Amino acid sequence: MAAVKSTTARNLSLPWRRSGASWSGLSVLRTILVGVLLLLVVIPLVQLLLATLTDSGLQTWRQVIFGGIAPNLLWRPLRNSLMIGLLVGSGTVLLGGYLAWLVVMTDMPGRRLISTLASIPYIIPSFAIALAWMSLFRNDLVGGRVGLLPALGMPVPDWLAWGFGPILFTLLSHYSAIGFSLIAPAMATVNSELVEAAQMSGASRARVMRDIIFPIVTPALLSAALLSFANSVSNFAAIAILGLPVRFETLSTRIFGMIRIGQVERGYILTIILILIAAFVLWINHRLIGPRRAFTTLSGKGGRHQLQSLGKWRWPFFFSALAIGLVTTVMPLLTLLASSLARKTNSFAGGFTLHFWLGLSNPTIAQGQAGVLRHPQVLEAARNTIWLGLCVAFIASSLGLLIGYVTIRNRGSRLNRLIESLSYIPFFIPGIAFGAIYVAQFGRPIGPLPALYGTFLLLILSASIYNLPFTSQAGRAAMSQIAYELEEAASMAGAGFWRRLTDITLPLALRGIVAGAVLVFVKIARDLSLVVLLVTPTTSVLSVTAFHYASEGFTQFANAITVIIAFLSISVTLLVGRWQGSAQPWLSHKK
Amino acid sequence: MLQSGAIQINQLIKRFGDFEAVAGIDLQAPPGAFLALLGPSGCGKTTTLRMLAGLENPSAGEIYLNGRLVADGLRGTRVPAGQRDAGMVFQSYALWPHMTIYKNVEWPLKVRGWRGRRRHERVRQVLTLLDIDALADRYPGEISGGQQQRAAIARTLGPNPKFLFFDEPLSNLDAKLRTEMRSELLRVHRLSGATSVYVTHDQVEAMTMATHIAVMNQGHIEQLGTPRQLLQHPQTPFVANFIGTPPANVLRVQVQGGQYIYKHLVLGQAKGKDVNQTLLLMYRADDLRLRFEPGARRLPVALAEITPVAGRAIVTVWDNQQRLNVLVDHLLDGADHRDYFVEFPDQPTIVYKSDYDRYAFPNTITDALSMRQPKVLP
Repeated sequence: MAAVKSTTARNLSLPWRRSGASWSGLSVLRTILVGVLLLLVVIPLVQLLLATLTDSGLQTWRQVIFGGIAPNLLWRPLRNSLMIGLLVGSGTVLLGGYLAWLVVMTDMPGRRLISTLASIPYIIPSFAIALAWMSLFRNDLVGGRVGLLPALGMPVPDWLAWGFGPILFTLLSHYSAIGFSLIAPAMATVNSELVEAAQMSGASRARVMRDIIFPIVTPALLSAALLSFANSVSNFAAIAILGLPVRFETLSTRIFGMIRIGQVERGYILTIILILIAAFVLWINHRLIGPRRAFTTLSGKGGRHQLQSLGKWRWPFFFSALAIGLVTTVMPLLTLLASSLARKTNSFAGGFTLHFWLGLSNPTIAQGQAGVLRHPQVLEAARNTIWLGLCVAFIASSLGLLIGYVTIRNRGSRLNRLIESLSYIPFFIPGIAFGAIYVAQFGRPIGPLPALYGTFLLLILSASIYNLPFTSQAGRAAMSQIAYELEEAASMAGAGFWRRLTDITLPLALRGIVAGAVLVFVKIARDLSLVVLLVTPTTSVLSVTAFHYASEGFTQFANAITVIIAFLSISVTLLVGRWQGSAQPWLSHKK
Repeated sequence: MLQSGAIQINQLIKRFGDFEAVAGIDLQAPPGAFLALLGPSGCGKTTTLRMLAGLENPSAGEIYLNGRLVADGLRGTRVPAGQRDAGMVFQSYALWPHMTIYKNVEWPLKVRGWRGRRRHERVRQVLTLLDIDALADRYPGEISGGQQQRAAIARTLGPNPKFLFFDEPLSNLDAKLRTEMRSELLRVHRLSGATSVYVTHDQVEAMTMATHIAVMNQGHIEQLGTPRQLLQHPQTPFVANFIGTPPANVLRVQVQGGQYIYKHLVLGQAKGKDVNQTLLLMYRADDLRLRFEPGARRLPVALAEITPVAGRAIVTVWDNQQRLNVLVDHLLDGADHRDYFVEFPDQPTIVYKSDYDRYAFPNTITDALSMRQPKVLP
């Protein structure tokens, strides 16, 4: 026993000694990964905390929590955040669960169509739905052009135009896709034999539902609720568009506001509070579900199962599901597209024009702004978005794969568990908070290094690390598909660590990794909350450009850009789906 | 320590946490040997093979391949897997799924720096040797299990290794293919001139293929010898009960009043002066007789199963404690008789002490070869 202990101790202190020369490459890799994670995850987080623990910082803590500004700065936004989180969290389970049930468990017609519709809101940005809402319902409460419906003479009350209600609708539409994508696979795992076994023992349909199906999908339901709670608590885009004009604030918009006006200490303190809330909820989810399920995203439903017959209700159910899909997916996109083509803002009375897409600068329209496809700033932003998406997808996926590699290959080691835990940390940090952390850390020079704030590099770094929990999970999944014997066979052939990695492991992991990389690309293309604090006019991206246009009242431009983002996201997702089928012939032939 | 054989293992130990998978084994095999590591699952045979291959580090002990110290648990010197001049055929074949069969065979040669024509010709040569040259452009997922097996062997043979390691390579094949691949493997072994180590839990496989067999149990080597030695002179009850078709029968008896007593049945006069102790008696299946009425040295049993073998039959019976195998000269119909008895000869073939020290037996081939008689006690 003593001998065993001393071996373990040696592993920890001198990892490169552990299994002799052939594994030294692995140890180099592990050391690099720990370094990267410390530098880009741990230190920024600690710095953020330290920045609020100075004398003036502590005073600010007191102000924020107890001072005269506290109700406005913290408590009311906090209440709003939590209300939104609770309602969206429970609504997501109802909506996503309802659609998942129809698609997976019943004989409703058009299940494939509904399944596609139900997952699209995840691909398009949440501000697309918010902007579409504005284009339809905006009333004259805060001035500016009203939306389509008021323009047609329909009175739109304030509660329908602004604030809580519209935000709820937007976030519910957006995150119902999370609910659907978590619950549907869980329901698909209930195979017909389980149900038949229960029926054989004489259980009624309701009893089977209650005692067999429900317990099996409960973890997924909980996970969906907690994930959408955490996500909507920290959502920025929808609240900024639909809430800020009427001073409806949440913690996210408060953080944005404080840091933008230079009250960084207040901003950081709100950031810490938001992280604590989100992290607590996600941690509960983590404990309940485990890391594997928590990251589950869209996957095909597999396995055979008995379909529940809806009888004469098949079509009514179908139309209800179709209505949900149309309202949350198709209508927003169509609204945006149509409104980007309207000559007069939010009114079709003036006819249609392609000016906001293709027009040259004309001083009589929109203060001389050229159409988005000719506008140098928009084009620059589009280039930046694609570059950012590609770089981040590449870097985050590579890092994720390497992390997956070292952690899967040597589960027991403490260093590996450290790597694994560190790579999960960003998962617990809302996007806007993550942006704030990087502002805090890289807003000023570090030693001989210049301040990274305002550089494209910082965007790439932050977005890469922000996506690491997701890609390292994808990396682990991809790696666990590869039998260790394949690598052992390569080392028997005399191949060293790096050769095995490049010739055997990486090519085999590629498929899983590419799927993850595409999701990262899409997430980056539609992300606003992470980058909104980090971009500067020279490094702008499409989502931020659209956000600025929307705040300045250039509705058509904002909508056109949003349509571009949605188009980019959807087409990339579809393209890669097809590519995956053909790029790896050895997989399609597998029996 | 003096190095003579192609493979020399001294006091090899492998621990996983508290568990000793390999508990200090000694082993020696001459060049060109086909050594089978035989034992039930969890006996340490695969771990031993993986240490030989360099895929696992010993916790203690030494491994020499062709006189070269390749692994030393105490001092940590070690030759990595790729530099031991060895090839391995894995249980799952471990063919790289993203490479064609040709590429699978070619890649190890590439890694070792074979170039151009020479490499191409070698790939073609081994593909032809294993009769799979027509499959060169297929991916592993596109060929059958037997063909995958051949491809895996071809890949291993490519660089002309001095050692061939096989980890239960036939366990994924159906029975007919398995018999076919046995002779194929032997042909390859002889052609290559390599020293082979072959892990299996199937004693028939080991007995038919191996020149030497190490029977392993719970991390120890029970006996090392030729197939014939193991059959004729099993040194431990475990070996006696594991080897042979059918394996021999081992009964735990008490010596009372100078007689062997098994469940109140007198099996014969005990030799020597041992009294009141427990012994293990070994009887071969062909020394037992199947009877249908009671009598002296006849044990009442229940019929379990009948396995026809080349005009004869192995009858397996159950006496409420253990299964016994009896070889009968004619095919037997289970419905022919109501009562079954096993009649024992008046003396067992081998007598083992029940508290025998099974690890006191020498385990090197040379010692095993010089072994004349198994211990008959007392």
